[in-house]
Amino acid sequence: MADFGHIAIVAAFVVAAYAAIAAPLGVRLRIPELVASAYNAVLGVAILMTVASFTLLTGFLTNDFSIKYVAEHSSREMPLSLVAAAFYGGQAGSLLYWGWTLSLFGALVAYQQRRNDRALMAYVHMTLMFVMAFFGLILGFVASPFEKLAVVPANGLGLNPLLYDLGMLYHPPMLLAGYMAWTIPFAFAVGALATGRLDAGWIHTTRKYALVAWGILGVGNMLGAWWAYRVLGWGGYWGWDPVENSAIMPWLIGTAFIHSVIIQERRGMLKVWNLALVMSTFYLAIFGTFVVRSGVINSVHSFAQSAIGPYFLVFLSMVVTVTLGMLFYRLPLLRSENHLDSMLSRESSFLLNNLLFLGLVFAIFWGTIFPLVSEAIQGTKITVGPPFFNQVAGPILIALLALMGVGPLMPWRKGNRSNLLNLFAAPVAFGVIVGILVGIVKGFDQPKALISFAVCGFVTATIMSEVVRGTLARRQATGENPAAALANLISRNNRRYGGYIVHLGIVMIAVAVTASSMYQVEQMARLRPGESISIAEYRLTYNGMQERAEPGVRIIEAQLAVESGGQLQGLVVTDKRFFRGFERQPSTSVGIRTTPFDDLYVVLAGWEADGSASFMVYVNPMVIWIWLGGIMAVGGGLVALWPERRARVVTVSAPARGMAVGRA
Amino acid sequence: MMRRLLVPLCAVLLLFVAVVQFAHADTVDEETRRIGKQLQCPVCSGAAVSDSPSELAGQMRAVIRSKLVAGETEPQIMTYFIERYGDGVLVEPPRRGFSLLAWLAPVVMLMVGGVVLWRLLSGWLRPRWSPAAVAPTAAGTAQLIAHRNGTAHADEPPADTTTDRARAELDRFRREA
Repeated sequence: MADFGHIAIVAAFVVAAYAAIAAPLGVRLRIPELVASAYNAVLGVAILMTVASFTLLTGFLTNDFSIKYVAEHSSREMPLSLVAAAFYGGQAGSLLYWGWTLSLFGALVAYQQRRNDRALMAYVHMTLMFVMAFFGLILGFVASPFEKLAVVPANGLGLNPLLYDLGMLYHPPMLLAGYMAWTIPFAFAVGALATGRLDAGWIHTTRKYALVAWGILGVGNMLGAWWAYRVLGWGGYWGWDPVENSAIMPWLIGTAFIHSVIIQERRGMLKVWNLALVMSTFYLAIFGTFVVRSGVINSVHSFAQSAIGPYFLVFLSMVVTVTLGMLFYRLPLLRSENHLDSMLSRESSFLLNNLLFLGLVFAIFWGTIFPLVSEAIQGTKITVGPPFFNQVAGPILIALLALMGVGPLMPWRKGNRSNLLNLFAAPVAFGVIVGILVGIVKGFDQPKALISFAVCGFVTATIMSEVVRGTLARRQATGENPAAALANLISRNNRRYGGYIVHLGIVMIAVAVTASSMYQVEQMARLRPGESISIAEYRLTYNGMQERAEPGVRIIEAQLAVESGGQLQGLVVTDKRFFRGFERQPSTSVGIRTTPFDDLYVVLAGWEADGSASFMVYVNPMVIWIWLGGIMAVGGGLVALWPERRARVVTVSAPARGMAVGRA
Repeated sequence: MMRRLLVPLCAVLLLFVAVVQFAHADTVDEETRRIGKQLQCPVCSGAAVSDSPSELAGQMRAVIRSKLVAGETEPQIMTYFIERYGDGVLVEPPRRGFSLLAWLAPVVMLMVGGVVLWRLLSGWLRPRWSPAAVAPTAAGTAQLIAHRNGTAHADEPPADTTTDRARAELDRFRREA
């Protein structure tokens, strides 16, 4: 059984390596048969990787503990869903998952683009299959998920307790797929460089793939935050952990990319820049995988460490060297007609957006590797914790947020100063009022929070004014009712309005993050049964503790009654779980009560023989809006992805004036 | 008689001690938390002493508390931990010596980036006095009408028409001349 999977992986490695060589060779030597065979090889790799993955999955589902990986990550007591999820619960399996999804995406792209430019596609296949072959090499010969045990144990070790959660089903597959998906825009960039066809063609083709990759990676990050919030029990959702940082960095560069491609599409500018951005996104995705897997930097994700780090480093430096070399070689072709009509224009605001995103990524990268730098140069290990990132990244994030309000109102080419003043006067006023109102309610002792709220108010006002203006104009032009006018406005300009919806989602997240980080209330309490504490508007009464057992786990559970406004609201249960084999490493279930205004967040910290227990209690304002904002952003992304209608110009003749109504 | 009194007396005394202790503990608790938030738990990843469930963090909290009770000040306690564990015990890099680089590099990079971007943009700027830039074009007129009717989107740049290209040619010619 295990041998079968192993053979499939080795075969996938061989076929991928063949395709990576055959595709460019076929184009160079003009042998169509070779190109066609490379195409078939891409599909073949997908089949082989699927076979390998299903073999491992079968191993998990049948509790085949003769496979070392299964024995180390699964056990008979685990619920079926987690047994299946244990597939990517460790090193080898998560790499297999990476490689498998890459092979599937590769085949999908090959099929969808089969009528696209042959030479370009050959190099795209080459790139995808080169990356694939690297993963095949690792999976086949370095970190095989199909290694066998000489003595078959009666039961497996089970999953690391931290992974024993619903989040395990969603977060790792999304994040890994997000990393993986950036390979595709990267492959097109390499294809464009290799063929020398560097016009906007490759950008048009990759826009959707990039948007999908960006969305998946974003959702993966969001799910990670959600999981950390529910499981790690320190009251927050983002800890600036090195692994979190390496997951957010490619997403941020990707965000810069999906903005700056718009300039290339519209104005033919920034060709080199966009290539560099998409390449960096891929580098950072590989760097992220390397950080998670190598353990060079201390992290909460350290359960996935191993010795494959050096392979990733070699691979990454090879890819960086070759592709940067290609970029320099093609520089003469990339001289674009960069003309700017005014500093006050959409183009320049997009470039400022890029600068800020890059500055942000540099700050995060620098903070992440600084402990290593410090140790190498001055020999002392330095901690770069959340306060550093909050202080450095905070102002940049606020500036980006503000730009989100400015950018969309900036006209292309040339802005008119007095026009812009008119345009921005009301939203700025609205923002200031929001900031002052919050200050009156919550006090003026947190100026950073007030600035953040004011900026959020400003952005919301600009987006809303855009939507209202567009709807009114459309209504005037077509006579539709407001709802229909709005719906048509969005569907006919789906990229633009999809973007606005994403922006509104981001504003929701920004408001919630500001509120929950600046106005969090926390209290440590040691209570005997029957005693209570008050925190914010809540009153908590400790009812007592009980112990119960589930298969493979002992649970110590504390129950608290929650009152607010003098009325019993319900119960909060928080527990510690002692998994078999991980007794010294109990995991925590946080008791969370969510309302639209705040989350009551109760963590069981410890207990005494006399039945008293200590708790960390937090009241985190508005956290639910982070998740809702995330959902909204995903919705906006889907709107932007929606197949565009054919560009057409409808001319409506009205008495005394001709009007061009919105190009789709 | 004495025995009967002893129990309630003890109870009252205990209660009194508990109340005093509690009232006092409250501020010490807060201060312990504030100091604990600035210290990194040495054995766990990414958790401050105040938030970590680990044993060592618990001991460190106890040390902070006892030092506070003994009347030591926050800087004294911080110095104590830095001497014992090194600068790595601080949750953020200290703003002195080599570690200052951690704080400065992002700011410097952003400023350098800003200057580079500004210079780049200035280089791309068309000369403002170019009369061609204000010459009426068909596309410009269409946009004007659309704008007046409120149907134009700032998003739609005028199509790159031949006039535009001609204008660019003219600009280049002027600059070279």
